[in-house]
Amino acid sequence: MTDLLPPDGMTLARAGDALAGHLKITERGSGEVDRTFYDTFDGLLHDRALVCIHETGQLSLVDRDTGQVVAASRMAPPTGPLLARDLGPGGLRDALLPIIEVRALLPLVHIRARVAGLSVLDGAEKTVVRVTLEEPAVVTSESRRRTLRRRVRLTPVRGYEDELDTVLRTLELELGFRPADQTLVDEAVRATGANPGGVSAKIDVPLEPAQRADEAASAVLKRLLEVIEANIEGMIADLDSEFLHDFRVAVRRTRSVQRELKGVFPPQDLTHFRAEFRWLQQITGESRDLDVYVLEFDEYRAMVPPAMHADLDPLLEVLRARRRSARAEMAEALGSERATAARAGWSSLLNRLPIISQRDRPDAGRPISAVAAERIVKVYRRMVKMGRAIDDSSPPGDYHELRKKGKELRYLLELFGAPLYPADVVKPMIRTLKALQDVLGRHQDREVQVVMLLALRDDLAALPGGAAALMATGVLVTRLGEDARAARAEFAGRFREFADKQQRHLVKETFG
Amino acid sequence: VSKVLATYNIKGGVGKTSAAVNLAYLAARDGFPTLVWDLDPQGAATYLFRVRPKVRGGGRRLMRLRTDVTRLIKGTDHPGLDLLPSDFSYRHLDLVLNRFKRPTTRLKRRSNGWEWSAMWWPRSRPAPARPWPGRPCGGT
Repeated sequence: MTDLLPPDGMTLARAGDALAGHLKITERGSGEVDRTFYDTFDGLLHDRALVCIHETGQLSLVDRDTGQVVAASRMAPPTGPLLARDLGPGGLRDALLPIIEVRALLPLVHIRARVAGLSVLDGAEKTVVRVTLEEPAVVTSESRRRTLRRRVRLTPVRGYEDELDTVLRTLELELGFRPADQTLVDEAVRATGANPGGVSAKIDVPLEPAQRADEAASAVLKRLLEVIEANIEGMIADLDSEFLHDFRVAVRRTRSVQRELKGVFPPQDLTHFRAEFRWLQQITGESRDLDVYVLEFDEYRAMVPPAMHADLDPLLEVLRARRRSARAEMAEALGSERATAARAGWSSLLNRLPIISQRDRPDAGRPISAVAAERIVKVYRRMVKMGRAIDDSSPPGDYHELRKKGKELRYLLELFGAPLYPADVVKPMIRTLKALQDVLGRHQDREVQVVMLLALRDDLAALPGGAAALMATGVLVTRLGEDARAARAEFAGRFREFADKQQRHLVKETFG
Repeated sequence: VSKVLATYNIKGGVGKTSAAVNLAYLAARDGFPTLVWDLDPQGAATYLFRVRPKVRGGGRRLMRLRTDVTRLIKGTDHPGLDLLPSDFSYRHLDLVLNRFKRPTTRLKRRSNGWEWSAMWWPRSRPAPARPWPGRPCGGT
C-alpha cells in the first residue's frame, strides 16, 4: 500500500478527475467509513510495523508498510481493553498472541473518513490497481473532529506490479502528488498529541563515566518516575496486568537506586522517601501476586490430573474475587493524598538534587562510574558469599534473601553498568545472573503460592463443590512443592556459573 | 493450513466452475483470504476473472514444487480473492499427479497462506488414483 498526498488545495473530486484524465478508471463507490486503530499501551504492534484496525465489522491485523492484512476476524468494535486470549480461536488470535501476550489492545485513535474508491483497469477491463481517495478526520468526541490531510491510497493487486509502478509514476510525475511522509495512523495519533510508538517502560538513560553521581542518579530516577506516573491510570482502570507489573518494576528499581547510591541523597530526605516507596510497593503487592495466580491458572490446572481440572474452578473464583477486592484497595491507596505527595515530593527532590549542598552527601560529587563500580563489586561479592552458604538444608528465607540481593545487582548492572561499561562484560554477566534469578524466583514463587493456597482452604471449603476443590488444591500444593524442590536442585549449577573463578576475575578486572 | 473446497463431477455443464467461483467470492467477501485455483486447461474460471491463462513453467514444474507459486498468482477484481490461473499444460496434470506419492498433500501445500482454496477438476479427466481431495466424487 502506498499513500500519496495530493498537491495543496486539490479536492477529492479534482484528484479523481485528474486521475481519470490520465488512466482508465472506474468508480467503486463512495461513502463515509469509521476506522479505529488499536495497539498496546507500549506499542508492541508498532514495534513490528503492524497495527490493528476495526472497520466495517471486521478487526484486522495489518502490515503498516504494505497494507496487507495479516489476519482478520469479523466482530463488533471492542468496547473495552481487548486481550488476545479473549478472541475466538482463529488466525487473528494466533497472529496476535505471540506478539502482545498479556497486553491488551487499546484504541489508539478513531478516524472518520470520506472515501471514494476507484479501480484502474487494463485493456480487458480488469482491475490492476485499487485507488482510494480519502478525506480523514480524527474523531475526538461525538461533536469534535480534527481534519487531517487528504490522501490517495494505492492498493496493489497481486501480479500487477508493473501497472502499479505506472500509476505511481503518473501520479507523482504528471499530477504532482508526493509520497506521504507518515502513515495515516501515525499522523492521526500525533494530531491527538500522543506518540505513535506508545509509552515505553524501557530505561535507556545515557550516562557519562565522569558525570557526577547525583546527576546520573537523578537522570535515571526521573526516567523511572516517568514510567511510574505513566502506568498509574492503566493500573487503576485495570486495562491489563502489565501496567501494574511495569509500575512495580520501576518502584523496585527506584528503591534499589535509593539503597545502593544512598551517599548521593540527603539522609533525612532519603529516609522519608525510602519509606514512601516501600509503602508503594506494599500496597501493590497483593494485587500483583493475585494477577500472577490468575494469569498462570492454566499452568496450575495442567499440574493436576485431567479428571480434576474442572474441580479447580472454585479456586479460580476465589482468586478472582480476592483479586477484585485487592485491586479496589490498591486503587484507593494510589489515589490517596499520601501517594500523590510522595510522587510530587520525590520529583521535586530529584530536580533539586544536583544543586543542593553536598554536605552529608559524600558520593554526590564523585564520578558515577566509580560509585556504581564500587557497588557492583560489593553486591556481587556479597551474593557469592550468601550463595556459598546455601545448601539443600537451607530454609527458603536464605534463597529469598539471595534473590533480593540478585535484583539489586541486576538493576545496578542494567541502569548503570550497561551505559558505562563494556557490553561484552555486562551482557553475559546479566545473562548468568538472570539464569540464577529464574531458579531463585521459581523457588520463591512456589513457596509463596503454597502458603497462599493453604490460607484459602476455609474460603474454598465454604463454596459449592468445595470438597472436590480442596482435594484438587491439595494435589496442586504437592506439585508446587515438588517444583520448588526441583528449583532447589537446579540452584547449585546456576550459582556455580554465576560465581565461578573466571566470572569473579572478570568482575574484579572490570569494576574493581 | 488452508481449507480446501473442491467441486468435482464427471458430467459436464453442471456448474462446477460457477459454483467454485461463487463460493470463493463469498468466502473472500466474508474476510477469508481466498485462492481460486483453476485446474481446468480450458480456463473458464480464469476467463471469468479476465486473467490471461498462463502459468510460467507449466503444471509439471508447479507440482514438483519448483515454481514459486506466489509469483504466479493474480489478484482479481475482488479484494481478498486471488487466482492461480489455468494453463494449457494442465491437460496432462492428472498424469503428473498420479506419479507422486501423495497428490492431495502436494496440492494442499501449494495453497498454504489462504484460508480457503477453491479447486475443481475438469470433467473429461479421471481423478487421481487416490480419492481427491477427501471425497471421491460430488461437490464438497
